[in-house]
Amino acid sequence: MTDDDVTTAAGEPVVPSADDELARSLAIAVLGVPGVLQTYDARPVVAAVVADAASALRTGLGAGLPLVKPVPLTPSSPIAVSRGAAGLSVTVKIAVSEERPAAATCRDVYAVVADAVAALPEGGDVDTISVQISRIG
Amino acid sequence: MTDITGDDRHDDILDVYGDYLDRGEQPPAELIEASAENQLAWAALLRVRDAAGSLVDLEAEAAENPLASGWVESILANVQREVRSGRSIPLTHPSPRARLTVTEAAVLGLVRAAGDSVDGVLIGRCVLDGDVEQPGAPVRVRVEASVFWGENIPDRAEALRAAIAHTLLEHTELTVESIDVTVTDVHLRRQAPVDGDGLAPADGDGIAPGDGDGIAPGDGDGSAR
Amino acid sequence: MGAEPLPRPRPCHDHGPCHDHGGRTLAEASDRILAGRAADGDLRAFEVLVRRHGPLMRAYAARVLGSNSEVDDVVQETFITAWKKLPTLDDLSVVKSWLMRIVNRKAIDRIRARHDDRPLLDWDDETPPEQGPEKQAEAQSQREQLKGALDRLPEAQKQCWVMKEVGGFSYEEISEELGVPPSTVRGLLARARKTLIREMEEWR
Repeated sequence: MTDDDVTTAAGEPVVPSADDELARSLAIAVLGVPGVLQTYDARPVVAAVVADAASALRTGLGAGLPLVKPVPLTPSSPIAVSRGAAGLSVTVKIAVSEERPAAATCRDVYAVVADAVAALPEGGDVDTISVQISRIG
Repeated sequence: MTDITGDDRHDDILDVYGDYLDRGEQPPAELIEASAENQLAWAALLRVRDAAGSLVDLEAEAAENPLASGWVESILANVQREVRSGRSIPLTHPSPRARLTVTEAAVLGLVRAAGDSVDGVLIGRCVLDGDVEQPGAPVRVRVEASVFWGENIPDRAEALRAAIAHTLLEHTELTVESIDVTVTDVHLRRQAPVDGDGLAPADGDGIAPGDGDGIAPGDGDGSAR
Repeated sequence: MGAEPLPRPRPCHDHGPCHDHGGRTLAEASDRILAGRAADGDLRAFEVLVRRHGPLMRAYAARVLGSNSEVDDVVQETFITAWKKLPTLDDLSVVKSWLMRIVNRKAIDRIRARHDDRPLLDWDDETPPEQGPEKQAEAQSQREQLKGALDRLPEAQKQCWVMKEVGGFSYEEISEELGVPPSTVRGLLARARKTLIREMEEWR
């Protein structure tokens, strides 16, 4: 969780970090790939717990303080985005349909993520893009 | 009321009887009839065993107390949190930045679904034998299965093998060296999902397989690729 | 989302047989087949095992614990442990006795906790408070009389008796599970039997 996650005193809506924004847009893109049934939480367990707690805190703040504009509940994306020395890493875990070859769906998901990352205005190096199929059918 | 266990001799004979019973044997009649004490002790032991019968018969008690539905569901909900993904099986990609994998659990689920699509068999344990984490490494798929009574075992095993080979070829990049099907048992199928005896044999015109224990039709010869 | 990847959660309801998409049922499958599927992550197969053996586990846990308050917890823990460890079970056909062993161990752990984890033999000195004669006279049947007598046994004797007579464990298994030599098990069992016989005779 970053400072960006905290509601400002003036009650401005929360501004999610760029990576959170990216993760959310990737989740939507991945779910649009033919054959993808579902995404699973790919964040490391601790990160997921912290993010969910932060999300719950924001909702709580919104409910408790009427002056602060209630923040819509925006659950963190299950897609994990992280930055290291070698660049950006993205991890996606999915369930795929058995209607089409699972390996083909997996490659399409990779392509969608790679394209989205390449289209980022700030650009930057990409380290790895991991796509894991956790269930078929 | 006579305290028949008050003396050591009585205790001794109970120990002797106990040893026989623990070995699953009856004490010899000569021993029981050797004295009045022995007879009394034997009668007392039998009374306890009779009374213990209902305490010991858990099966009967269990049959009268099926689990409540919510109770089972809470176990299943807890169990679902325990993720067992198994090994990561790679899928190839030209980009060095791509890490594409399918979990072992997903592949096992796939094999199970393929098995369930074959009429007349029920698939059991499935093992992917080989270094599945290395691309191209040869893999032996070993599955256990139960065949419904009345079905032709070699025929069903072959259908199962074909279905598994097909699904693995379609969805994974595993180099399947063989698919070994071991039929571990033959079981009866209910005619309808109605409680009751339900033990009518299958509507089978097939050959009665008899005892299917340990039959492994075509074990090892089922090359899938 | 949020949840980790799961085996297909398709739980069956009530006590009806579980149908797969082929319309066949797992309910008549052997323990070996079901345990194999569950080891590979099939939740429906595991559910059949729970329904098939759960009542027996519960009845056994009730004998060992002598109370109902902890029985459900112990049985639930047993199945959760079983789910985790099923992939390591070599002989899938013995899943029932394997479950019995787990439930036995979990129940004994509870009893140990009641005794502050002191060694088993220490408990043998402690006889639970005697019930009054009126209470005993209330027992309507030999079964209830024996049940009462069993409840009054020192805990270590009771454990041995229940494991031997109810659980069907051998001397060696009891010795292993309780962590005492087989000769001690034999002694505890002999004393349990004598006490039970004496109580039954007094009641006559």
